[in-house]
Amino acid sequence: MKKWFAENKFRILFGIIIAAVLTAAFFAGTKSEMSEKGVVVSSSEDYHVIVENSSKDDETHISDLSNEETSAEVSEHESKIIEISLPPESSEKVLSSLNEISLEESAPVSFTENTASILAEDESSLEISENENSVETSEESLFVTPESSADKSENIPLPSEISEEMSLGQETENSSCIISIDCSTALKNDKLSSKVKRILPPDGIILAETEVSFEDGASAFEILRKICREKGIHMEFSTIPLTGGAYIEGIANLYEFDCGNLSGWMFSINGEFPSVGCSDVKVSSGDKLAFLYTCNMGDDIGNHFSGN
Amino acid sequence: METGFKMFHPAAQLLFFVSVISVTMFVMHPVITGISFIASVLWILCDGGICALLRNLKFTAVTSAMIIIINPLISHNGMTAITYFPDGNPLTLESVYFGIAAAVMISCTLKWFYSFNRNFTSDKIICLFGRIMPKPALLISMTLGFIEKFKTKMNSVSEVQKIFDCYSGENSLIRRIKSAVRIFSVMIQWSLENSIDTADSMKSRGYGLQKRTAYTLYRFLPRDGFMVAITVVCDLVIIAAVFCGALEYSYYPYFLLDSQGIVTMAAYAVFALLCTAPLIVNILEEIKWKSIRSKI
Repeated sequence: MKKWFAENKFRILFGIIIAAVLTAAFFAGTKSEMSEKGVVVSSSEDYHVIVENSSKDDETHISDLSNEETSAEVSEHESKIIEISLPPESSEKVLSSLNEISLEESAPVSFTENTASILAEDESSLEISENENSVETSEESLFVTPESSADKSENIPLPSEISEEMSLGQETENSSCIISIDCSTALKNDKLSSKVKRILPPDGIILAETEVSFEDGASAFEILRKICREKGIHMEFSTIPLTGGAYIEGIANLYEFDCGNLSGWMFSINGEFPSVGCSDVKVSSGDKLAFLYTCNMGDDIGNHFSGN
Repeated sequence: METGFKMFHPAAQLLFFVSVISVTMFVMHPVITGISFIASVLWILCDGGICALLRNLKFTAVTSAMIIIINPLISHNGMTAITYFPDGNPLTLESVYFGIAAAVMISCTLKWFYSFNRNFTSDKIICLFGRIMPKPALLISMTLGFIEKFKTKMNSVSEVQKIFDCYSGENSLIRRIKSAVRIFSVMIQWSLENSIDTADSMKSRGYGLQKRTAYTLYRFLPRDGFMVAITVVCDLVIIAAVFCGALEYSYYPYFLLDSQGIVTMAAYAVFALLCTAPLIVNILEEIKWKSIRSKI
């Protein structure tokens, strides 16, 4: 026994050292994870403090309120145009294509109704955003999608897994909200490079107020991802490793920090800016969701810190 | 015996390499990158033969492939979506273009540095910096020399150790670790002893008694002046083209290459001339040599 121990003492020693290192690494890892979670919380609090210090102007707030009013007017116009701008031929075309889809996929009636509403608004919203251009060119000017936008009914086929997932989602979709994407603050900023400015819509409205249907309990991020995919709007996000939350880096090739250090995408629900990420906010039916580009930490889009 | 471009004055060579490498690195114009890539491949082929080219390609191909694969995975900027990743981010054509361009750019920068290393031996460093900063130049050249010496010595020591292992008959892991540790300790002892020897030797020959002078074989001839002038003119033309917007390019958010003017063409031609200057020198010398030999 002694002899065996003497012969193999290096092996035993190595084994013990490796086990000790692994144990230490395991405990250190869990500790750091917990502490990092703590850091996340405290950093978000720090963020609010910074916002509180920087938000002082009230005039901009008023101007933003007036902006909201104008956007409401736009939405009224939109609803009028929906009624007018659907010629009988196109509606017949849409209906026939929808019949084909329902025959192919044997989807329930609610599915076709939802798509019909989406399709109708697709055309009308694009007419709002760029009245001069035709529907297809204005869509392609933002983002050239893999699916050809020549026929609206062909917008539905998608890469295999996702199309399956979405068709499943649409069967149970029973809520709807209104979403809009706006970057008019970026267009007024001098720091925006001319390359990016060229591809943004001239009025800054990337997506006019659009009704979108979703599954109950969907987050604001999921709704944004869905609508961006449907309309062929570019959107890039990154996932935060520990919390699994999504962070919107850029929409329509307009990225964070494109207009200076304090610029980026923010979102509001019914005019209020939640203090959590867009994938942690559950949207309820009838909410008004807006993704807005800020050049000054939310000060220029009405996100003033109230003190709570 | 060095021939062709390698016989030029080190200052002319340094200026050439600095200008080519910096234009390649800072102007990521697709055409410029392509010209630089072709010229670097041809120059390594001319300078070191097919073996050197293959060794270099083996080294750079891995880096390039990694960049080409990874860039579309982490960068989703761009207007043209090819398809979507499962998480919802788009795979864009622009990011693929940018990945290819960056891979080619880095690979040809590495090629130019590789040929710079082959060309720039320690005597050229001493020639260039021996007057201006004698001690750092000496230090650099001694360090570069020491690396080669260390490699040779390490090979011979490890061969001896291998023979010892063969005699002992045992080939366990611990035995091999012991052998490696022994080689390491031998090398440490040798290098310390070598440095003391070098110091003694330098002192006995009078190092540090007077200001250091450097001896070089290289003289600045008219052809070196011509080479420097050509390089400077090419650099100025390219810099002017960049600043007047003739070499405009864009990868994000859309791929753009809308420069077809005469200035752009001139810039392409001038950069091609600059990159292939050593190749032209070598070919001209070869032709001269052939023509002289045929007369005999």
